[in-house]
Amino acid sequence: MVGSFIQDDLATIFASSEFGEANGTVLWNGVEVKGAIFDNEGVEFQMGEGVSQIYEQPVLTAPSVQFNDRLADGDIFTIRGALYRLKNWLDDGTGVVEMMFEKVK
Amino acid sequence: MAHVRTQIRERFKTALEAALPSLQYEVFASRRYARNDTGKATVDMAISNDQTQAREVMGAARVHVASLYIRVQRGAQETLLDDLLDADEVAIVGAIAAHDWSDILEESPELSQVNFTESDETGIAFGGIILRYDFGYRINKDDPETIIP
Repeated sequence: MVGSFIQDDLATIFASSEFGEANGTVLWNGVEVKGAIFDNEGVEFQMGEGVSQIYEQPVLTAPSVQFNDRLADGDIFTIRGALYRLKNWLDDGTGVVEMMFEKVK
Repeated sequence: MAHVRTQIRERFKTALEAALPSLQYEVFASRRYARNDTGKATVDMAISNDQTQAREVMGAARVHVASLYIRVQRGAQETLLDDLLDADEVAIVGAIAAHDWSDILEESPELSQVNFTESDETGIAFGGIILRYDFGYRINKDDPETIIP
């Protein structure tokens, strides 16, 4: 558990008034995530013997305290009205978790 | 007229477009490079080699044997991707088998190799199936634009 002073700083950084998504627009299995930064950058990627493709790479970064180590493979997130399935996540050990998704089609 | 190889690639495109649903596949008669996903499977093709066989007849006629690589790429939920690529092969093989090649090739194209490729870097997984077709055609060695029937 990171110190409360770090959590205070994270709460400011991830607030919707700063860099975070608007309140109520990020849901984790139906529960609101308070403070999260969503990047959905279009990236070009290679597939060996194939055509390079360009597609979005959805990544959500958020303070880890609200997840309490309960993230699970396949959790459904609603972000900006679209559905995403949690593929994997990286907890940096200093109070921030970065999540990668599969877009639900 | 265009080179016979160009004519053959265009024939493959015609055969595939006639058989594959246009809402699900986008077919190109040449290789493609970077493109944004459209939600359809991308089908592109390229001839990777073309060899003149030993002289089999007197005169200028030559039989060429070439390899065409047809690549089908699509994005899909990762648990469905391999099934969809297998279904792509069924659709491609069926389209080529049903087409009449007698006026341009020595015999129907032969599927001789299948490879796969994939990437999981983005919000949906992408995969590709690469089908290698070998075929023969006959031309005058001095006229690469005209098939000898």
